[in-house]
Amino acid sequence: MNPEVHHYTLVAYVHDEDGTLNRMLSVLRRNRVTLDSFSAASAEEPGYARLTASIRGDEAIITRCVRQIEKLVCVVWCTFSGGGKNVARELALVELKQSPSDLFPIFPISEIHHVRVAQETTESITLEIAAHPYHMDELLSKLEGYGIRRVARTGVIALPLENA
Amino acid sequence: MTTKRTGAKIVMEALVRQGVNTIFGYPGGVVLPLYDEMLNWPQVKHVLVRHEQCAAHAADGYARSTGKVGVCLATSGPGATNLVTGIANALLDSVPMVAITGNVNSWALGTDAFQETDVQGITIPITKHNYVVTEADDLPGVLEEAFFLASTGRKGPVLVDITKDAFLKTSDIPFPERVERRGYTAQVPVDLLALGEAEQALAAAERPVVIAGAGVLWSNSSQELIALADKCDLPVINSLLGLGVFPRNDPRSLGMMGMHGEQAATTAVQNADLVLAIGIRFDDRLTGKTSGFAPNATVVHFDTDASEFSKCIAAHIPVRGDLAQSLGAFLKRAPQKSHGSWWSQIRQWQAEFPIVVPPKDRLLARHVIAELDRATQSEAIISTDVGQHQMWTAQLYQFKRPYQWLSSGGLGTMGFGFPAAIGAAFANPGKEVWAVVGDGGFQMTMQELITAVEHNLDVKICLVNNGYLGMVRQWQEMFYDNRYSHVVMGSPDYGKLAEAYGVHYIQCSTNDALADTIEAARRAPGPVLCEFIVEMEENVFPMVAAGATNDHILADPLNRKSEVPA
Repeated sequence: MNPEVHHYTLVAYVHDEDGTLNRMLSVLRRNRVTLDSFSAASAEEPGYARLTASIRGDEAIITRCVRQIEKLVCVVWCTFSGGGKNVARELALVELKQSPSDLFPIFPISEIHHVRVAQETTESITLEIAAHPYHMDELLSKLEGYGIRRVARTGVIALPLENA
Repeated sequence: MTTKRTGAKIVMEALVRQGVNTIFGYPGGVVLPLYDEMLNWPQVKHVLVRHEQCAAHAADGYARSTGKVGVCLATSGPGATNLVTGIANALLDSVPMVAITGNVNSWALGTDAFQETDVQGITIPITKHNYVVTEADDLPGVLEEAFFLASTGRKGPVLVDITKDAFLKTSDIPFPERVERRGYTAQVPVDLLALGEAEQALAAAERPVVIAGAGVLWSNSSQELIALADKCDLPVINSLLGLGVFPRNDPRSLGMMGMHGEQAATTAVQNADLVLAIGIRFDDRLTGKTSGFAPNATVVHFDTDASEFSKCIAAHIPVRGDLAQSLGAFLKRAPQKSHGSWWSQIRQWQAEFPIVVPPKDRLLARHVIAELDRATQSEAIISTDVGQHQMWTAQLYQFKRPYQWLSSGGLGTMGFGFPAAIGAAFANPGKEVWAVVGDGGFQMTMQELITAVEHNLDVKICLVNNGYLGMVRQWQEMFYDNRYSHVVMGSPDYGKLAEAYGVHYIQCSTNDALADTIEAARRAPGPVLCEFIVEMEENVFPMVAAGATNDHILADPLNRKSEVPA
C-alpha cells in the first residue's frame, strides 16, 4: 500500500552553526521525504536561523521526521502544517523575453499579486513576484504566454501563526 | 584568571574535569600535539588499541559497564573513518560516548590534504551531535558541552573533531561553569497528566506486563522498576538490551521477549491487556510484525525521547519524562495490585515452554553458556558479539544487575564483544569479565589480544567455535532450503595464535571437561582464550521468523509441540 502523499510546510528555529542544515536535511533524506524547497537565513536573534522547508510525503512519516528533527541538538523548535496555519510567501524572479511594450496586458495581474518590474532591458524584462505559494504556480502559468526565459524561486518562507 | 594553555592541554584538562581515567585510542599525524601533551597527565590512562574501531567499542564497553561516558581518540582520515562503526553502534544503543578526532590544519580543510576527511559530514547521521573545532578558544566550551550532551537526556555519542592548529594554539578561556543549550532539555520533566492516565490504565488492567529496556539502565531507575513490579505484582519482560535492569532470578522476571525470546514472555505480551513499555524503542526484533503486536493491549510508553512514541507501535498513553523521575512518581501513585489468575496462566506457559538445555551427550554452545552462568554465579560482566551465541547468552545467563550485560543490539555489530570486554575490564578492575564470542565475530577484532596482553588485562574469552557463521547458516537452513552460501567459517589454530600473542589458551570439546575448563580460565590471571569446539549445526529457538507476528513462535523441538499459536 502506498502511503498517501500530501504537501506540508516545515518551519524550524535553529542554532546558526555549521552542520545544522546537513543534520536537518539528513533526517528528511533518510526518511525518504521529498523536499520541494528549502530556505534558511538568519533570524531576529543573533546566532539563530529560521528555516522553511516545503515537503511532500505521508503524514505519519512527516510526523516522525519532525520529531526526529526536533530532537536534534541544533534545533530549538520545529513544527509543520498542511497549510493555512502559516503566513507564507514565495518570491520569484521571472525573466520574460518580450519587450516591455508587449507586457501591458499583465499589469492587472500585478495589481492583485505583488508583481513589480525588477529590471528592464531592450530584450527582456524581469519581474519580481511575491505570492502565497498556492498562487505562485498559477501566476507562472499565466505568464507562460509571454515567453518565460528563466525563473528563480526562493521556495516558501513561512512564519507559523501561533507565536512559536 | 585562567592562564594561557594550548588546545592539547585544554583537551586533557577537560578529560580530568569529567573524571575520565581511561581513554582508548590510536595516534597519528594530526593528533601528535595531543599525544605529546598526554605524557604530562599520568592520571589519564591511554590504552593503545590495534584498530580504531576497537577504540570505539572499548569506550562503549567502558560506558555500558559503568554508566559513565566512554572516550575514544583517533587521528584524521582513516583513523576517524575507522571509528564510524563503533560510533553508529553507540548511537543505536544510546551509549554515552565522546569521540575525539584530529583533523588537518584549519587552513587545509577542504583541500584533500593528506589524511583529511570530512568526519563531521560522515558522522552527522550517527552522532547525537558533533563539532569541528579550529580555535583553542572554543575548546573549553565545546568539550564541556560534548560531555554534557553525551551523558544527559537520551544518551549517545558526540564527536569533537579538532584541527591540528587548534591543538597548538593557546587560549586563556576558562571552562564554563555550567552548560545550557536552548532547545535541549537535559532532564525532561515528567508529564503528570499522562502519568495519571497510566495510573488509571494500570488500575483497570487484568493482564498487565512490563517490557523494560535499556532506558531503565541509562536512567539508573532499576530500583524503581523493581519496586513497581513488587507493588503492582507485574510480570517483567526485558528487551535484549534491557537484560540486567530487572534481576533474572526475581520470580516476577520472565526474561527476554522477541525473535529469540522466551516463549512465555512473548506469549504473555501477546495476551496482555496492558503493556507498560519502559525505556524501549520497539525494535522489530522485539515486536515481530507490528500490526500483530499485543493486539488487545493498551500501550503505555515511558520514555525521555518523544520521537520514540508511536514510531513503531502506537503509544496509547505516551508518558514523556526522565525515566527515573517518571518511574519514581508512577511508583508512588500506582495502585497496589495482585494478578493471581494472570500469573497462573503465565506459570503454565513457563512450565510448558521453558528454555531448554539439551542432554549432554555432545558439547553444545548452550551447555557452555549455562555452565558459564553457573560457574560465575551469574555475577560476571558479560559482553557478546552478534549471532547465535549472543541469543543463547541472553536466554541462559541470569543477569542480576544493570551494567552487567554488554551487547550490540541495534546495529548488531560482529566484532564488538572482545574490544567491549577490554573496555569493561579497564573500567572494572577486580571484577570478572567474559567476552562470549563466536568464531566469526572474534576473527573481526582478535588483533586486540595484544592489547589485553600488554596490560595483563583480566579478560576471559569464551570462544564458541561451531565452524560456521551460525545465525546466517540457521537462516539459510530454515528459509533458504539448506543452501549454505559462504557461511563455512575457517579458523586459524587458536592455540598457536594464543601462543604467538602470549595468551593463556585452553581448548574444550566435551561436556566432561567443560566445568574444569571454565574454572581453570577463571583462576588463571590475565587474559585467557577458551576455545569451545561445539556442535556445528545447532539452532536458536524459540524463534519468530522475520515478518511474522509474535503469535507464530517456532518452539524449541525439545519442547514437544512445533508451533504454538498464542
